[in-house]
Amino acid sequence: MEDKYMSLITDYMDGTLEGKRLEEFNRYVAEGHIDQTELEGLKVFEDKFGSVQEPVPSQELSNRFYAMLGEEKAKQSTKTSFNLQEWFNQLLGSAIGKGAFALAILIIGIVGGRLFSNSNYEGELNQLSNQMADMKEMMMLTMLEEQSASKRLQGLQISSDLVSENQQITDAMFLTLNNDESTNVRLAALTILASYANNPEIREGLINSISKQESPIMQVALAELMAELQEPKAKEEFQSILEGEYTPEEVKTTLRENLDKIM
Amino acid sequence: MDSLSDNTLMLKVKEGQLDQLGLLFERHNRPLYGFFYRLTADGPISEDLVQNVFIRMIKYRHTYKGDGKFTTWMYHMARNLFADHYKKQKRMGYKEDPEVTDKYLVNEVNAEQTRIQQEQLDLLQLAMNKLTPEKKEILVLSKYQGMRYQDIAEVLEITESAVKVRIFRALKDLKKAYEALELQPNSRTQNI
Repeated sequence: MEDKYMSLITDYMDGTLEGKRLEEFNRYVAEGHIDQTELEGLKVFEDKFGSVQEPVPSQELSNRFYAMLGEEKAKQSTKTSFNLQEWFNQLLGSAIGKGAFALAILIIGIVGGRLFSNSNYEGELNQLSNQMADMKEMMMLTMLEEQSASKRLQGLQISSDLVSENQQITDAMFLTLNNDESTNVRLAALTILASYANNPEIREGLINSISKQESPIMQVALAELMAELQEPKAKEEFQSILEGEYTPEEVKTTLRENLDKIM
Repeated sequence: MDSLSDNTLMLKVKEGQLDQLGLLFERHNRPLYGFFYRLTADGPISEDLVQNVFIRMIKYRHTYKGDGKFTTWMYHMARNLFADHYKKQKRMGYKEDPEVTDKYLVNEVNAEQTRIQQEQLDLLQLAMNKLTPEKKEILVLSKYQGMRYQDIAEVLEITESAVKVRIFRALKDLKKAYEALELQPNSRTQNI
């Protein structure tokens, strides 16, 4: 018997044959390809399956299963600490996993390396610059005590970049501006402090310095600076100098010219 | 809890919730036992095989994708286990070795009779045992397990119409074997 008949017969016996396939089946029966009497016998025989009792397992099956499940669960909890290893095994088990792992390690390396080296570098740099500042401060203070004016000038230059950050240096700088015996040194201090004139404290110190200067060079330099800064308070400070009888007339003229520039 | 599908439960087992396998066991241990019992006609062996199916489910849970029917996956495992068992049995010469064949007779005179009663070996089962393993298997899946042809096709990895053809052939052979047994006076003591 051909396969196509058998497929139809199975459906016929199941009672699922309909439409065109049922017509096809009937045609084959009519043509004698399918023996319907045989099929009816087979159908009756098939009913025997329905009357067969379902086999039932013993309680032992259930007991053994739950014992096994208990053991597996116990194994699972002891395995937890090895999960990382399992995870690695699974990850490295496939080509994609291996690639992803390699890429991840590379990225972690780059990012981590950068972060680490950056923070380390910055840390070291901060430490170094702090040490430098301390050293500069010490050197400046020592050098300002020197007899030689050129040494004192050097001292000023060394710490010129630390003026506004370090109060001790700022104070030492003003002390030099107002008291150093050398005009050159005082002038150098003024030049350095002038570059920080935006700082209100330093600006105030510079204004107060006017009345303390006796050298015409210093007075003129301060007047030029005040004109540049457009500092109105300077006029008051210069008043006594302008009125002073020991102030040379040329200096008074130069000072007035500068003070007149202040609006 | 029954509202959870087999698929959902097995995916939970895959995630490590082994307790969920208990629910799957409750749902499927009887049909699985029936499957093995019809194939082996041996209760203890069938129980061993059912247990092994669930052990494999745990062992290979990471391979479960959940894109097909859970029962298809389950019967795939069951079939493989039965095939292993069958090969082993054949290698051991189970059928030819009277000592093994008569293991139930060792200490009890009526052991064979008792076994027949206990295991409810009827004529139909005896006839089934006359069939080739392939024919027996397809009848077990369709007639005893009540599986749809489409699902059987998936388990056996053949087409649905091939399933229908095989069922018809197996049924015809079974009827012939059954009728032959009916004609024999001591058919129930036939070798299995």
